[in-house]
Amino acid sequence: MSKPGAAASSHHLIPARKQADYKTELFFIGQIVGGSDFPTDLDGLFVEASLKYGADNWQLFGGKDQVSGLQTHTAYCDDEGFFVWAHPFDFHFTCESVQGWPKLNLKVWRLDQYGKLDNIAYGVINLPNETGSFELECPTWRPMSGWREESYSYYLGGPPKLVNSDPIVRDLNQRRFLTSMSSGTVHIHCEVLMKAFRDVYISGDK
Amino acid sequence: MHFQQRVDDKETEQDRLDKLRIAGNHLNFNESDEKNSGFHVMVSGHIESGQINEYDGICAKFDFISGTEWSIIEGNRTGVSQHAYKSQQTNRRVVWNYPFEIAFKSMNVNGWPQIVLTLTNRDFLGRDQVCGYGTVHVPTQPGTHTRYINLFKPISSSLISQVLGWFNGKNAEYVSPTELLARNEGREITRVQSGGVAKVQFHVTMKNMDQFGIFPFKA
Repeated sequence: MSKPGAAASSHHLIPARKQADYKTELFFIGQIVGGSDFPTDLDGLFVEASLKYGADNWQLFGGKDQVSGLQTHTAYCDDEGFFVWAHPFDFHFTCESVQGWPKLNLKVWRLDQYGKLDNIAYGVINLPNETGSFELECPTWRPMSGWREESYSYYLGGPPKLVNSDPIVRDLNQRRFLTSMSSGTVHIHCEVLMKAFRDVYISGDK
Repeated sequence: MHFQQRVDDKETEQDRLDKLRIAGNHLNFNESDEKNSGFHVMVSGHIESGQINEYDGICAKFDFISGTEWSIIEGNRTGVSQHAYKSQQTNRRVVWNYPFEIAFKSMNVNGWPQIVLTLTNRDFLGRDQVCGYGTVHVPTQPGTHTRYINLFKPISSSLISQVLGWFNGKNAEYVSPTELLARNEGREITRVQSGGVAKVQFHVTMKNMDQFGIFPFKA
């Protein structure tokens, strides 16, 4: 955190921070806590999450975990139907534009008793845009098809899935052709810290 | 030129004093000393209680894990509580009331500290076995916070190891829970059983974060 404007002599008072010294940075520190209300009792569920943000103005720092997406362990539910994932994340962004604020794309996978893996729900949630501590709840859904696919998925597993994940957030126009079945909720706890947002007069930093 | 400089000098002096003024006090501390030494996060609190249905006589061990740029100035990174039994009254909770106090120093927000709880209890032969893990980040806003940590227990990868574990008094446990939960590496192939909630209360104080341009919202 070098400050090239600092003067050598102490009586020449120059402000400690200049506007150009700092880039606005955002820290999202939190956890994918767990999930509830999913339509499985005996099967294990895990979440695969990836970050989506404006590619040109935003830059994500971090290890391979954060760049390629994170995946939680497989959890079996407790008596009340709550699946605990407790997967901490720590995202560090530098941003030059407010457009393209990060979102988390979630995919919920199911591991059934025969060892089969299946993608059963999708969700997308915007990360908060003000400093503070937030409990986010991301409702999830899966695409639905005719009676044939639905009975197939009821008896054998393997619900209908999206061919590509564009309709989730990238190309929302495709959603008008979808029918979906609602699924459970993913609970995320996220705390946000902003750096140098006050200098550029963007709201959110209280 | 000289006149202009003097006017500018007065403004910056006033700006500097405005920035340093805290609730009407005029504190002239020498900020150039502390500028490059990082910000401090002081955490105190206690592991209050837990709501765990299947087990009794549970001992809670906590660990603070933080990124590589964080250093601990004061306090204990780990601690082990007493073995606590549930009361005979109606609220079937396990009370630990185990305080912790730790102070961190860092130059970078990455690697914000987390607390990892490992719960163990003794089986009928007196052998320690793990009955839950949980983790939560230390709150990033100063003030008092209560966090409810959802707990989970690893499941053995095969039936044989589960049966042998029952004989040996060792349930499936993580070799290094702090590493696993800090780095999340290799975690996606494990399976866990959810169950239980632990309540932890945090009191967080911060110092010098303003000079880094970060203004955490006071809770």
